[in-house]
Amino acid sequence: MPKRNSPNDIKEIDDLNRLEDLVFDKRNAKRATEKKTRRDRHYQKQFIKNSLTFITLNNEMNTSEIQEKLKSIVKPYVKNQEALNNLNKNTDFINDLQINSASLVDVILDIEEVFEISIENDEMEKMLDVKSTLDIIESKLSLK
Amino acid sequence: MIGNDVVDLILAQKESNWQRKGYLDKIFTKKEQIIIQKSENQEIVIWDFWSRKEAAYKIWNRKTNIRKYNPIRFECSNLNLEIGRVRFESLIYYTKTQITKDFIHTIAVSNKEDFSKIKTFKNSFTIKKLNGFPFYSNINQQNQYISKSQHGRFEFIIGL
Repeated sequence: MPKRNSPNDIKEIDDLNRLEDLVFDKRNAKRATEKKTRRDRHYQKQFIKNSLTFITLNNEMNTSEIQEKLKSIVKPYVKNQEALNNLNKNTDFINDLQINSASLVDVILDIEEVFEISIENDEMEKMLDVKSTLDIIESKLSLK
Repeated sequence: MIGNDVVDLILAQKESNWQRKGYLDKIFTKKEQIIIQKSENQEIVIWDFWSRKEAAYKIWNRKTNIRKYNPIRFECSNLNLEIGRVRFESLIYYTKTQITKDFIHTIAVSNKEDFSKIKTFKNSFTIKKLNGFPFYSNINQQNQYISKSQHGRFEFIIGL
């Protein structure tokens, strides 16, 4: 049996709120309580540090996953396939991908369906390029 | 200022599924949706509205240099009059729309008087782009605003 939980037990940022539940010395009566508390405190800090790295890494992975999903969503509406192959954060839906402005509605409806989010008009206004679209999708997903 | 937009009706029919759930809600105001619902040929009214909104947006975009995807905020009225209106907040744009069996074309202006000054160009002269907006050089080598629209089989280039 491991002596303590692993930082990987943290799956989302809210888990840090129950850090005390996650981090405790599983061994009983091996050390004086004071020492144990000190070690636990040290371990908690390591835990936070490691889990933040873990969470950040995880989020970066999610961003590229979201971008991949977005790429497959826009694909049927794109007129410039080369720009689609080079899709990056700065790619503009209308100027680069040459998506017809009436088709942009379809892109937004597809995004709503795939990510199961609902996009308000003031958010839709900004969704002209990959970066702002990813920002909106991510902030919506984080509220879920 | 001037803006124009053309919709190739055959291409629009192929590319856009306006019957899709949520589609009309994203683009048209409640008032516009009522007009669409009551009309005999909903598809024509939809692209009629759309071309008005786009033509007016092109003026607004050029004037403010702001890009936004906000067709719902451009509300069309006076659909059946010779000169229609598109309202964005406190701004009013005036529109003239031509509907044929193949295309719908709208010209929008910020001053009604400009309708009489509109010139139509063929694509035979060179269009320059300054800050992303199209211009041409007139006989006196002055830069003149033009507005270009293209969809499917149709292209319109107009200026004042």
